[in-house]
Amino acid sequence: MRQGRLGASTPARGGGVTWSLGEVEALARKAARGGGLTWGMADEAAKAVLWLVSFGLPGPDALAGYLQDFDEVDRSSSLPTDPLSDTWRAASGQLCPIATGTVLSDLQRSDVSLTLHSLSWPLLFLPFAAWSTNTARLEWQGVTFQWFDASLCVSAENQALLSNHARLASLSPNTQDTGKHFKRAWRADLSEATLQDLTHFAARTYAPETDASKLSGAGAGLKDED
Amino acid sequence: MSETPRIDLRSPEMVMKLARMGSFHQSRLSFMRQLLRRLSSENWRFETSVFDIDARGVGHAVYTAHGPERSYSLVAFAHDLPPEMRSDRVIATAWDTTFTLFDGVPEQSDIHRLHANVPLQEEGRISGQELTLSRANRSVRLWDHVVSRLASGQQPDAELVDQVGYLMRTTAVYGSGKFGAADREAIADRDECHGPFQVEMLTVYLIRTFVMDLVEHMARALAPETAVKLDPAMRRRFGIGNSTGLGMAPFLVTHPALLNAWISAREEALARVRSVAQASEAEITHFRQAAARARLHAYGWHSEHPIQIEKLNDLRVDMDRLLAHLETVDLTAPQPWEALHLWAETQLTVEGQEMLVSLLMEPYGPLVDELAHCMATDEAMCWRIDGTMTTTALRGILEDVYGWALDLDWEAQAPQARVWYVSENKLEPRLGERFEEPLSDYEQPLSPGRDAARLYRDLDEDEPLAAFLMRHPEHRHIARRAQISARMSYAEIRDNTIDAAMLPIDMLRMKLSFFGASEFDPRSDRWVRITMFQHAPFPDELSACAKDDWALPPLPEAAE
Repeated sequence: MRQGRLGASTPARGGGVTWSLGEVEALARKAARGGGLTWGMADEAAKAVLWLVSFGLPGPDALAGYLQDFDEVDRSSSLPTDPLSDTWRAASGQLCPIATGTVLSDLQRSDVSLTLHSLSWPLLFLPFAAWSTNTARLEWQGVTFQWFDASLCVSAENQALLSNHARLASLSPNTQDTGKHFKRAWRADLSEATLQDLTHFAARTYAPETDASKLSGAGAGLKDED
Repeated sequence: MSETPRIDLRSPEMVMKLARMGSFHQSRLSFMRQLLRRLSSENWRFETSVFDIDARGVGHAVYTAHGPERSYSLVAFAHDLPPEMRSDRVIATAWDTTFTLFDGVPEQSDIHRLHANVPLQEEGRISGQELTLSRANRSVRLWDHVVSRLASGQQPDAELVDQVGYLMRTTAVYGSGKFGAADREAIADRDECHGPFQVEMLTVYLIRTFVMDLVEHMARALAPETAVKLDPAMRRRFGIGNSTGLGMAPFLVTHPALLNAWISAREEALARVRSVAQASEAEITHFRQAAARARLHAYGWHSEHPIQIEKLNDLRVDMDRLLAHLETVDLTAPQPWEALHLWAETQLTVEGQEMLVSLLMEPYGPLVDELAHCMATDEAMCWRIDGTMTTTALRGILEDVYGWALDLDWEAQAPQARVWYVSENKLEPRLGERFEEPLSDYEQPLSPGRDAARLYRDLDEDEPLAAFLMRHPEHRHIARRAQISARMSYAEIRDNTIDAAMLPIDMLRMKLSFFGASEFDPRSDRWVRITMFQHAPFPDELSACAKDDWALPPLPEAAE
C-alpha cells in the first residue's frame, strides 16, 4: 500500500471512488510545495487545480506533469521578462504556468490582449486568466477556452488540453460562446498514476518520524484511557 | 431600548493575544447553541429507525433528524473493543464506536457500504453522501459504573457523573470533504448547514443521544429483570466528551477570514450589550442567575493540569468577586453593563473578564443571536493578492498589524524555538523544537509574526507588490495574510505561534469555545479534553427548552 492518507484510503468495499474537492486541493498544495514551490505559490497552484476540477477539467493530471517537468528547475527565469508588455517570454525560454499566472493575476491588468511564447502546461494558466478578467478567451494549438462570469466553454482536440507545452498561447477578448459548456462538478476523479505522482511529491513535505517526535510532537501527557 | 452612546469594539491588539483567546468561554454565539436554537425553533423531528445492537454491545443504529426541508442520519457502529486497544490519540486504530452523518436517510446498501468503511475511520472511504466521520471511546470508569448501577435498578452516583461528565469521548469529528465526505461548499447554501460546523455539531448531538440509549441497552442486557433507565435530570448531566490535539490549532491560522468572522461577531455582540442604555428588571435578573450558574460551573470544573488548575483558581476567585460586586452594584443605573465591563478590566483576571463577555450576552438574545448569521464566510472572497498595492503601503500594514513581531529579536532562539510540521507517519500537524531536531526543512507556514518580520526586512524599495513578489515568491503567503488583515481586523492572532513559551492549548481552547465546549481539561500543553452538550436537552426535550438556557449548570433549587 502506498504511503500517505489519500493513497492509503482504498475503499474496503463499495467501488466508484471519487474525491472531494477539498481533498484534491489539499493534495495539490502539498504536492506543489513538495515539488519546490514556495508555500504562497503552492497555495496558488492548489487553488488553480481546485478551480479546474470544479469544472471537471484534469487539473491534477496537469499539475503532476508540470511538477515532473519543473522538478529541481529554478523557476525564477521562467517568469515573463517584461510583464507590462503585451508579449510575454521567459529568460529560460519556458514560461512556468503557475508563476506566470500569478503575475497576471497580481497585476490586475484590465486589458486582455496578451501573447505568451512557449507556455508550459497551459491548462494550469487558465484559472489565473479567468480570475483576472471576467470575460476573455484563451487559446493554444487545438484548444479554445472562453468564459463569461462563471460560465466556461471549450472546444478542444483530444490530448491538446493536457499539452505540456504551448508554443504560442494567446489571451484575447471574448467574442461568442462556442463549444461545450461546463457544469459545476462537486467530485473529482483521480487516475491511479496521477494520485501516485502527486502523493510522491506531497510526501516530500512530511518530516521523517522519530520515536522522540512521535511522543513529544503530538503532545503525550496525562493518560488518556480512563 | 436605546443604544447610545455606542461603545467601540475591543481592539485586535487586546483581543487577539493567545493568553486571552485561551481564556474564552462558550456563549450564545457558540455553534452548539446555534444548532439547538434551530432544532428547537424549526421543530425538528427525531427518530431511531434502527437499533440493532446485541448484548455484547456490537451492532449498528440509525438516528434520523428531520428538518423542514431535509433529513440527516447518524449511522452508528458499536464495537467490542479490547481494553488494550482503547486510546484517544489520533494514532489509535480501533474504537468503541464509530459514526458518520449521512445526508438523508440511508438505504440498506448504504449501510453495507458504510459498515465496510466507517469502522476503519482514516483508513476507510466515505462518499459525497456523507457529511462527517467520527469515533468515540468509553470513559471506562464511568461507563462500567453506570451500567452496573442501572442494571441493579439504581441511578449512578451524581458526584462521579459530574467528575467525568460523559460516558464517551469523541476523538475526532471530521467534516468538510475529509476522507471523501461532501465538501462544505456543496452544502453551505442550505440554511441549516450555512453556519460554521453545524453538521459536525449535529453529529455530536446525535452521538450523545445514541450513547445514552446504548448504556441503558447494555444495562438491560445485563439484567433485564432489574434494570432501570436514567432519570431525565440525571441524563442531562451527561455531555459527550472530546479529546482534541494539535491538529485543530493550525486551522485558526489557515482560515483568517473565518477567524475574523467569529471574533468580529463576538466583539460586536459585546459592544452591543455594553452600549445598552438601561437594563430592564428581567434582564438584570437573567444576568444575575447566569452569573451564579457560571460560578457553579467554575467550581464544578475539574482538571489535573497545573496550568489549568491555576486558571481555574483565577476563575473561581473572579466569580466570587463578581457575585460579591453584584450584591452592591446598581444595575438599574445608565449603561450598567459598560460599567460592569470596566470594573472587570481592573478587578478580574483574563479568565473572569472573558467569562463576563459570555455572561453579558445571556440576557440579550434578541440583540446578539442574529450575529450568528455573520459567522460563516468564504475564504476565497479575500484571497487574491492585490499586486498593484505599493510596497510602501504594505510596509504600513505590516507595522500596523504585525508591529509586535517587528519588535522581536528574531536572531534569538526563544522566539523561533518551535516548528510546525507534518509527520510522515500519521500526517497530522505536530510541533517540534527547531534547535533540537532537523525539522526546519519541513516547516509549515504557521508563523505569521516571524514571516511578517522577514518580509518587512526584505521590502527595500518602493514598487508594486507584484514586482516585488516576482523576485521574492517566498514572501507570497505572508503578503496575502497582510492584505487580508488590513481589511479584517481580527483575522490574525497577534502573538508568536512559534515561541518557546507558546501554549497550543490556547489555540485549541479558543476554537473549542466557539464550538460551545465547556470543562476544558488540558492533558498536556498540546491536547485537551472537553465536554460538549452537557446539560443540553435531548431531542425529545427540545420543545420544552426553547429558551436556549441549558449551557450553564442549573442552580441546585432549579435542578429538579
